[in-house]
Amino acid sequence: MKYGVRLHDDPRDLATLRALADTLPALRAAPWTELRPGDPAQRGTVLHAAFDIAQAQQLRARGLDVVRYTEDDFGALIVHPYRPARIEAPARWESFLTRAAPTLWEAVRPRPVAGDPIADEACFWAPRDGDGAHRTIERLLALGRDDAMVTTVRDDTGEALLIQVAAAPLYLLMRAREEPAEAVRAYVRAGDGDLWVAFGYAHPLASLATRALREQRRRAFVDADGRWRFVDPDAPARSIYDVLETRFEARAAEWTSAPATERFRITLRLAPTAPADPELWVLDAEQFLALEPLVESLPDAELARFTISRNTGPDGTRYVLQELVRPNLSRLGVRVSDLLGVPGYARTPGVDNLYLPVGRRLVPAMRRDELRALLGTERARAVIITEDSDGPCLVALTNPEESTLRSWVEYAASDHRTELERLVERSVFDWPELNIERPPAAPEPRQRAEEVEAQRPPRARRRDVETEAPDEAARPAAGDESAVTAALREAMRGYEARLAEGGCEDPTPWRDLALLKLQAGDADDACACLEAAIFHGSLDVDLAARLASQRARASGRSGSAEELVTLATAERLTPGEAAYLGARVLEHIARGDALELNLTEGFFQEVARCFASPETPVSRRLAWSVLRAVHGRARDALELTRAKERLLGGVNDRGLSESIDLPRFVRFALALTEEGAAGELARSQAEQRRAMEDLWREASEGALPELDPRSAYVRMIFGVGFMRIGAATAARDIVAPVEAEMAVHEPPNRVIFQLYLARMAHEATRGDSGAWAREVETALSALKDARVKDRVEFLRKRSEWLRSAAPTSATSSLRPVFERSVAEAEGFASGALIAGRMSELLDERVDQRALFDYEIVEVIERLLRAALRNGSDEGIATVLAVATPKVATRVRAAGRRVSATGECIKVAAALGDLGAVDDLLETVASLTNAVQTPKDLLTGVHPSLAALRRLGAGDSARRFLEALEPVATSTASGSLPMRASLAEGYLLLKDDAHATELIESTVGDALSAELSHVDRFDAGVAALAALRHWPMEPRMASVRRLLQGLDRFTDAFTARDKLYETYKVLMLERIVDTVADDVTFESDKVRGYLDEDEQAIRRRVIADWRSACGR
Amino acid sequence: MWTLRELEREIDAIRERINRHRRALDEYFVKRSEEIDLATVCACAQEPLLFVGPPGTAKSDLVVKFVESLGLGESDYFEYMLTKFTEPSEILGPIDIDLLKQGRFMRRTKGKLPEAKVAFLDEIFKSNSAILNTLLTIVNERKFYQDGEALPVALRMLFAATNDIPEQSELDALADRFIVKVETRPVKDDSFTELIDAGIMNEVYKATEQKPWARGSASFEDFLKFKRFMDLTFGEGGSGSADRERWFPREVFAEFRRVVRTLETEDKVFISDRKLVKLYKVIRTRAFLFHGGAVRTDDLSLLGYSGNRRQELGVVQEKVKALLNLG
Repeated sequence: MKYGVRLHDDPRDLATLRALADTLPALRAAPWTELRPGDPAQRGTVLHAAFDIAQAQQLRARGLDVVRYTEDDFGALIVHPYRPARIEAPARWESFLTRAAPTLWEAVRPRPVAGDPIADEACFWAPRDGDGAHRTIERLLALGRDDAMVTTVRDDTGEALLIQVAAAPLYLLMRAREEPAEAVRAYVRAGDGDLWVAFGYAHPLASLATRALREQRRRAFVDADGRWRFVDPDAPARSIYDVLETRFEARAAEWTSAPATERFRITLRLAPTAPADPELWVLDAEQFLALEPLVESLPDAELARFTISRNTGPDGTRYVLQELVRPNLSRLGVRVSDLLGVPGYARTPGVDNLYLPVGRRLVPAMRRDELRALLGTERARAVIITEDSDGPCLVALTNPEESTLRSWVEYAASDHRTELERLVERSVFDWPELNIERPPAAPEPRQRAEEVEAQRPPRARRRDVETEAPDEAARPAAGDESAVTAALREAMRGYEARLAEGGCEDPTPWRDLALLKLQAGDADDACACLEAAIFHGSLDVDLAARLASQRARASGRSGSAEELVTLATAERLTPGEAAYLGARVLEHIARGDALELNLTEGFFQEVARCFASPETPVSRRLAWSVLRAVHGRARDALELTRAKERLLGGVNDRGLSESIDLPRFVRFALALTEEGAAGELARSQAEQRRAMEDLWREASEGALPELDPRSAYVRMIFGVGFMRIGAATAARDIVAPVEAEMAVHEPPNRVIFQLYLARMAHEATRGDSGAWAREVETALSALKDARVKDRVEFLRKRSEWLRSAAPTSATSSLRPVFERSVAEAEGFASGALIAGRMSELLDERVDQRALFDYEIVEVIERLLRAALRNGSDEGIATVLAVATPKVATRVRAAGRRVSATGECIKVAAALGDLGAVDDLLETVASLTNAVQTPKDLLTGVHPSLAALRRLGAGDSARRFLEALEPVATSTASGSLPMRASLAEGYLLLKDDAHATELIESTVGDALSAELSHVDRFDAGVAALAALRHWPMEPRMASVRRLLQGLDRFTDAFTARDKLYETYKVLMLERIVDTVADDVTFESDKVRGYLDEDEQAIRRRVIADWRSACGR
Repeated sequence: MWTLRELEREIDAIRERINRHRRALDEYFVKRSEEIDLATVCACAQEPLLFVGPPGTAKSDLVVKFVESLGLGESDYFEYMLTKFTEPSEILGPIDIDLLKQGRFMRRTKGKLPEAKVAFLDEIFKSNSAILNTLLTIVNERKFYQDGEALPVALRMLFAATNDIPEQSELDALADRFIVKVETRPVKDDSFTELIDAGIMNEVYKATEQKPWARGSASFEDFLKFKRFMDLTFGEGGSGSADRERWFPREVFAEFRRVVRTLETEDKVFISDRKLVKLYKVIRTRAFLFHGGAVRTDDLSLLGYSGNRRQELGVVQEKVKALLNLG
């Protein structure tokens, strides 16, 4: 009776084998035997080594399936489970196969891996005498993979070729595995050692085997059937071209050079061209004398710029007048030509002593040296080609006697005193009347005046106070300005504090504050409040008129119909123009006087188009008020529906803007409530500049080679970074070397560099996303080669700066029957109906089909979002109440459950339901051990952090973060992004020390841990994303570390043929982006306010739409 | 409807006629056999086909001649160039005001897409969301909603053209419905003289109102019969595996799987479950149409048209050729 350990050919075997190796380390390198049933229908394997009963019991105690076996007289193997306390029926294998192996890991067969795993590095093993190797090499070359290395090895079956290739084509790996007739075996490297396992399989004891192989200096290949082949790891490898014998089958012919005798006669001729300024004139005697008026009128210095020579030829005497052209002095040639009536001759570009008639050129164009030789310009002082009715004539001035025109002039002096005196006597002086004026006083500098104005207490306008003050009791007696101001400020403070808390959907306080602000002369805030009052209330003539008059005053406009039409049809509006246009439109619609002003339907259509666009720089409140008014005026429910979709779509897509949608007093109030706001708010440009300069110094240390693509990328990325913070000169200096040598770079890199340059220009002009998309489109449309375009697009779409649209979300993964049902529910107006449909879908089988986990999650997520879109708090709460228990009970996979819970947290946070958020946070925390990878947890952690930000951190938040910490600090794949998120969470809780500790460890592990390239990149990106919340100084320390470790970010195998290092480029972009971010510092309170405001706007828009459309 | 037994008697003749029709149509174009073959296969399988290419690359001309060659009546064909301002009523027909007064939301569909048997939608991705959603239902389910009631549409063949495939998620669903997308490229660089000659003849035909291609060898009914035959054959063995085992040799099927996996993994081509099944169907249709038998490796070249994004199309086509060793 022998002892053995039984394996069951299922996932449990992995744990069994590891426990076996762990429990009996002495037997790892001992001989083992594998016994398998001969009948394929029977499953299981017994591993046997010489272990005794004590060892068997030891294994049994570890939970291993220890068996005793014996062979009976008929050659069958009887396998008894070894459980001393129980008697169990033995298994009987009628026939069995044995395989002896010298070590435990060689006795173990590889296990199949699900799917077709991607291999970083693979080897193809083919017998040398078969044609498998030939076919493989041919296919590799056809797929453009000539980077393979070939090694000749020998094992017990003979010589074979080993073709090693990084990022091996999946097609070849699958073909080798599935087509035995190919006579090629494919292996992929297990870990980073010398163990190679058949493609599609993994060895359970790979790390053990790798260690042993390293000690033995051997390289092993293990087949699916457990066969091991060993080769020398140091066998020399050759390039794929070294094993090719390339042939070109064609007839050969050798040609010898023969003297060329043929000459082709080409006649040069004069042809028209754009006229240039003349510099030389050929004059006969008469024309020469006509120069006198010119000589009389020209000052001496200009006269000196003409030379003249007298020459004789077959046509008699000719004078050659030439202007000496001086840089930076205006040319005189045209005046000469006008005076003489001769066009003259102009110098030929490239041949400085050849003159052609003005407006003529020589064709065909010839090389300069050939032209010089043909026309003999080297032997002459000047060569002139004249042209008359007989054709062109070549005139060579070999050695003219030139002198300046001045030397041909004789000056004569005369005294005309008598005539002058007579003239004076006849003259009557008629001076205009003189008024002596004081010189105007030097104007005070504008800034100074503004300062004085700012220091002066705001004046209360008597009429306004009488008619507009909302609170009669709060108003002091008229005439006491300072008392009025103080009272105004006091009254405003109360309103401001209340409105800055957020969530105010009552128009009255907005209106009251607007009126107070108007009295105090605070026009910007007053307009923002008026917009909010109109948005939350109805379109009131008085409010609309006040808003329009304030906007008109601010923009200095008259309000004529023509002006409004011009604005409505303008391609782009400034914030001031857009706000003014909106206000005027509201005023006219409220008054109902559009027709009187000749504002046509076309005008209102243009206004609707303009305000429906998310690009128009006005607050979403004003945009909706205008759209509501315009479409309400025409009772156009369809267009109102479209406008609602566009506006809400824009809000969903971009959120609200702090600068446009938040009144200034709210921003100010929120800033004051932030602790330490003075230090953290709005990092100064100088601080960013210093940080960027430090970073650049570090990146360019040791001088960047100018023609190297990598340094070109570094320059380009820093160029964009500097441009973002407004340091245009530094940016241009950095990219100048690349610009100068642009042509030496390969096409994909060259095009990407051009895109970076375009991005710099874009950053400088602060263009919008539409302009950037057009810029990119123009650059790419010039690219004809699909392969180059593909490579450019590969990087562009992954780049933060070069991509022209946000990454798109995936399409629905629901089966059609569910998709229809969910799509219909998404259109329901009532939360109760949505909740009902959700309940139906998740409770019952539809068409006899049950939903898979991923489908349940999609149904929940989509319907929760639909409820949010509907905007009613009651409806959202109803749907959430259905969704939350369903997530817990129906979703089995922990990862999916986390994702769905994350969505629920988002919705609960939108409702402001702290209790529900607490419970859901607990749920996510409780799933930490259940999820397969930390990545799964991230889908729930991100919305949870957003909820914390929104609701303020509390005890439950800390508990939540602490529950996640063991996962985040583990070594599991994907734990680093999680750690970065946690660091951000602790920072929110003001636990700076722990947050810093976590982020530093994330950065450290991202650079030093053994990670795949994708995990490393993800970790780096997550760390940088979290670091944005840190003050600049501690942030820079970590950013600098990542920059120093940039070489650790190696490339993905799919990108190796792209001619650039994708992950390094992307990482560097993010590093620079973290320091030179162009967004203003947005405090978490501000974010929370915007979130709440967004919900309020959504609710109001939907309420308006329903009331207008009767839905 | 026709039974399998009835169709079996004449399927070879139908196949022959459709192939002759395909080759004859090719004579009126220069280097467009690839597009014509795909149009024919898609018409046989009743799957929509998308032409992607710059203006002036014979996209519309191909479809118009193909349709004219089938001898269809004017009301059976619907053609429209979409813009972002196109209203649903231009495609689906105007709302019937009389019925609307009676509280019924019905469109007058005569001469519009719901009643056409063949349709060509130019610049399809420029349409607005209302039209896109209706198109999705028509393409996917062959249904059209009138006053809340789903009515079947007559549409059997849908061709569409675009200059570009926009990368907007809301258009992904429609783009995914086009299993086959073919890039049309200018041919003037390679076939300058032939293009001028053929172009001049086309101008003459237009000026003299001649349509020699209209005498096509195959009729619209032939295409319907072919599709019916294929549908009946797919289900002949009572299970999908029966069709595969009979018509898709094991080694070719393994090659099919390998190429799909490679495109998904290495080239990041998104192939949905729906698309995979449709690809199988179209490949089978091509094989039967072209050589009347089981699928061969060269039939898998259809996978080269499975790219989704504009820049993928050429790359995927080259990759598939290299993988299948089709030169």
